[in-house]
Amino acid sequence: MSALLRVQGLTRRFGGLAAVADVSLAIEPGEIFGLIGPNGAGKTTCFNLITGLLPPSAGSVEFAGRSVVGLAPYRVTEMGMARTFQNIRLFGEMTALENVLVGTHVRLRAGVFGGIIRTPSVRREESAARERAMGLLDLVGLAGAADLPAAGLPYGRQRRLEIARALATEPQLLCLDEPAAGMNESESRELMDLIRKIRERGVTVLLIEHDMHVVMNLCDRVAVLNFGQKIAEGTPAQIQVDPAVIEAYLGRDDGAAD
Amino acid sequence: MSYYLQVATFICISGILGLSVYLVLSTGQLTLGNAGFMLLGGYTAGLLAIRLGWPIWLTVPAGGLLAAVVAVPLGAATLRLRGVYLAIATLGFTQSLVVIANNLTITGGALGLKDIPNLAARLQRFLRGVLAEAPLGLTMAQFANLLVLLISAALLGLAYWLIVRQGKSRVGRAFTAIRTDEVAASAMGINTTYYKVLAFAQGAFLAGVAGGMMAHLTYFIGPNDFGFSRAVEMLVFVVVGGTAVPAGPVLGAALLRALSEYLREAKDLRLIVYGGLMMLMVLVRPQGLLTPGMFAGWRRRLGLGPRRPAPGKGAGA
Repeated sequence: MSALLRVQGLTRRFGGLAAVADVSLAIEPGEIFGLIGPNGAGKTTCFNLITGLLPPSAGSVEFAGRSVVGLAPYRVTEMGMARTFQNIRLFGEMTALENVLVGTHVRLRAGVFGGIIRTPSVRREESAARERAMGLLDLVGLAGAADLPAAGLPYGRQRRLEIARALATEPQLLCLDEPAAGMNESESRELMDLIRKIRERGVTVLLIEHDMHVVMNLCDRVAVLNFGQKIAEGTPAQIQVDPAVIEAYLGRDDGAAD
Repeated sequence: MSYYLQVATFICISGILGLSVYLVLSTGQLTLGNAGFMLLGGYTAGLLAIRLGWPIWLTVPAGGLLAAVVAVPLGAATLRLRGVYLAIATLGFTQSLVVIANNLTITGGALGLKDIPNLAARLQRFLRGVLAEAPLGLTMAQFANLLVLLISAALLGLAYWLIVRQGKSRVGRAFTAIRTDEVAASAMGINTTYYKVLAFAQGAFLAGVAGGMMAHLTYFIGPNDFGFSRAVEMLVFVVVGGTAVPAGPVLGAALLRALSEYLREAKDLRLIVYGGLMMLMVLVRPQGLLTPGMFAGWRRRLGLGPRRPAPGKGAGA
């Protein structure tokens, strides 16, 4: 099986600092892949490089066999990659439903004239988009909040709304940047169920996460970043006992005998 | 009578100008270029009518189209600037057009364009040909002015309707998304450059049409009708009326235009009152007189609350 997302030698320097240094990843279709690492390890930078928000200093990113380096973010989204943000970036004054409708933008065709005249085909497209958006709100458990302004939703719901909005772009690969951040235990359990449901719909998931409980229970494979470099990769069970990972998270135990 | 009709007519033209700035602001861009586009539209319409004898119903849209065509490359070049930098760049555009109009022979230099065919006069001549006397007990001149007002109001209404319709469409959602968070909008698959240039060109078109109408309403236009103060005035319409609903700039235009007519007697004092009002507005109600929340509230009170497309399974977790 060829990888859906293949990242090779990905590097991003900010001045003298390499925030991401020579990172290579291969994400297979249908898997839930976790990207973990201590604070400042370069995980979000990695996401921004993959989704086109930042240009890499070196390296390649191939999605479904095509290079996405140098493409505008909207083109990357068009190709089937969608993302959420660590610091939630919803369109606050729009309702939850409208936020998800913005996500459908890339799959709709109505232009200026179609939108103003509302031709039958535009009306069909629009009502199909609304139906799909409502379906996605239902999937993330927000159907009852469809008409509420996004900014007024509680934090956990905003996170789930961002996921619905990203799904509305009909991605093959969904990139989630710390989806469980700030969630309590029951919320993060629900989130895990949701991510599994999303995978069942045929969407591959790449997620950055701090909550080890979520990572260990959800991910098929995990890569660990530290100071911009990949220090380990494997199944959650392998990662948990990897000495380099333990050192990165807990520090070296100098007192122990080897 | 004719005076009030003319004031009302200029309120409509100002409303179109307010909407032209509103369109650009609806993608989060602050422009002072629409005075320049108004100049382009005004001179284009005036020259086409004077030199080539084009009818007014052709010169006005031609002015708008030329402004929009110029706006596309200008927008593509300047819209990567943000906030005050974009405002400065577009103000530069406006001011350089003023300088150019001041110095070209074809534009009449500082003296401006004279003897532009006047819409009211044309209508009056036409009406005398078909009617024995004006209806409604008006004089023929009054009736012609009334028709000019109706035409201007129809243009304003059309512009308003188009903006509202567009606002509820896929394009309008893209505008709002870009205004709220450009990075998130582009990550959601919106070609932000395309939509920003689109809004900029649409605003330029409206400003060009307003400029063309101005030219045909006043017999005479000069370069100084379209400079810095005009650019700021349009912005003030939007700031006072409200930046988030299209009715805002129309209300702002109506109030400020009426106020400035009312204060005409006061001469220089007028500018002080005007400026003081501006400051008060920005300090006390920076979001403008009209807000989307107010509209939602009125709709609820009238029982026109938003419909749920499909009842969900409870309120979620």
